[in-house]
Amino acid sequence: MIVLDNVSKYYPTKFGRNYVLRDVSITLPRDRNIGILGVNGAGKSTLLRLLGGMDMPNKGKVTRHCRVSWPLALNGGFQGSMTGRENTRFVCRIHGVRDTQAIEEWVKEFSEIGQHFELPIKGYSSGMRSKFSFAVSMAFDFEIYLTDEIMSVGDARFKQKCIDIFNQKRETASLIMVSHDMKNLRQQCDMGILLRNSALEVFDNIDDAIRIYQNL
Amino acid sequence: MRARLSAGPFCDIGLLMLKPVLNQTPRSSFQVLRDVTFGLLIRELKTRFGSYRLGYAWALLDPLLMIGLFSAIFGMRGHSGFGGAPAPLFITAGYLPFIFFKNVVSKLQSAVNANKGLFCYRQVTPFSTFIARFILETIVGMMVGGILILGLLWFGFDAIPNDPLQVLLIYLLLMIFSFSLGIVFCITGNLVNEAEKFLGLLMMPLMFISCVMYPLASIPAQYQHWFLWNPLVHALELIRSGWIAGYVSPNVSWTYLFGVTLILLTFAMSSYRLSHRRLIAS
Repeated sequence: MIVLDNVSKYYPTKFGRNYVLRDVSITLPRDRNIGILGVNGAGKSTLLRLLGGMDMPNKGKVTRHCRVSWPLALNGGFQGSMTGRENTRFVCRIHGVRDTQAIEEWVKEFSEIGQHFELPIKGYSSGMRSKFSFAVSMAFDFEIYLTDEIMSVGDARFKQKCIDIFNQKRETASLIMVSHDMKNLRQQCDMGILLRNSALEVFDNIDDAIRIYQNL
Repeated sequence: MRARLSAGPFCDIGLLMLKPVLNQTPRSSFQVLRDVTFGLLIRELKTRFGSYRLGYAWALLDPLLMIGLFSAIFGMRGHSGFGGAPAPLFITAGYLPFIFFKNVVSKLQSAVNANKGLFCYRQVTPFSTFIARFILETIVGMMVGGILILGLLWFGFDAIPNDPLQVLLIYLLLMIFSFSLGIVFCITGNLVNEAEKFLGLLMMPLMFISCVMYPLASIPAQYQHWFLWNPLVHALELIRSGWIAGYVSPNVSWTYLFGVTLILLTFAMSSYRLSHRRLIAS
């Protein structure tokens, strides 16, 4: 469960404050898969960052009552000069995992990057990089996964593997995702949130949210 | 085809393997800070020296080259210039704390920018990057100091600190001073982009006005009070008088150093508290 209590978030611009959220209070349940919709620039990614705690609201409070992931399939979050293994170890350590060996080996197997796992990340191709970062994020059991346009990793076979493991995770975890792909949203989510005019509109059914969104 | 066959079972083994590893109990915020700092410390250790050919040796070579060079230059002057102490010992006792003061300040100043990518994990805060770099530099400083003492002993200098406790205490105090100054510099540099140019300018002449290469006693008495405004002078003179037997510096006071450090630390912590959100967002 993620609770937003009277949250405001804005960016200062030359023309005054650009509000992404204005006095929003909402509780996101732990057991629903939520799709976040909104036009470009409405602040969907910022909302995701707020939920994940990467960014802090200017006013109000975001409280997480369960384990929430960092936004998945993102290419940042790794130190380019360190090897894949060292980066994996780092992510393990900051999540309080002492015995990192098992996770390292698992990530190495899953990401299918072979010996590149022992080489610095900055030498990875973009495909290897996204496979690696997907593997790292799948190595941890979170209760809510935050994703920003996920499932576009690697070739067709790897993509299927990602979807398989992700569906496996979904038995115990739920998902909050940002996407412009309506088909994907319908498949993955059962609840929709429309972000417009610095406010959140909650729809119990994702189809309603998509209908409103498409008529914007 | 082979890859597909191997991928399936490995997936399942992987998932089974993972189940017991993760701890389900929530950590206290102190435990999170400790875990993150440890992770960052290892990451700094890997990247601090990793890109150089000789790796960790540079932590030692860097001050060694400087001390060797300055000892050779100033050593020609004989013992008279250093309050009776042998040149290499005098320069080690002054230059080593100074270089680690400079290292801590510059490392902390760049701590946030160097770890920008890692702030996407909410556990990683600018503060933990400060702590990690501070711990690393302080420990490297102590180890280099220890090795240099052994080296000087090998060459027949009486390098064992006369009052090790005072040396250690003042060194730690100096490190806390550098820690606070580094945080202040980091915050100002992040809030005002132009500040970094001026801060660099500020640091440049410090070596010449901080009694690194000469004792405070060599300054004419009527000008000494100008030098005594500089807390670094107090720190370096105190370290030297604890290190070198018979070296006295009556005008410096550890209360002044302690007071300045405390005020600066308070200032650094308050400005961090006020601006830590902007450090990540920028």
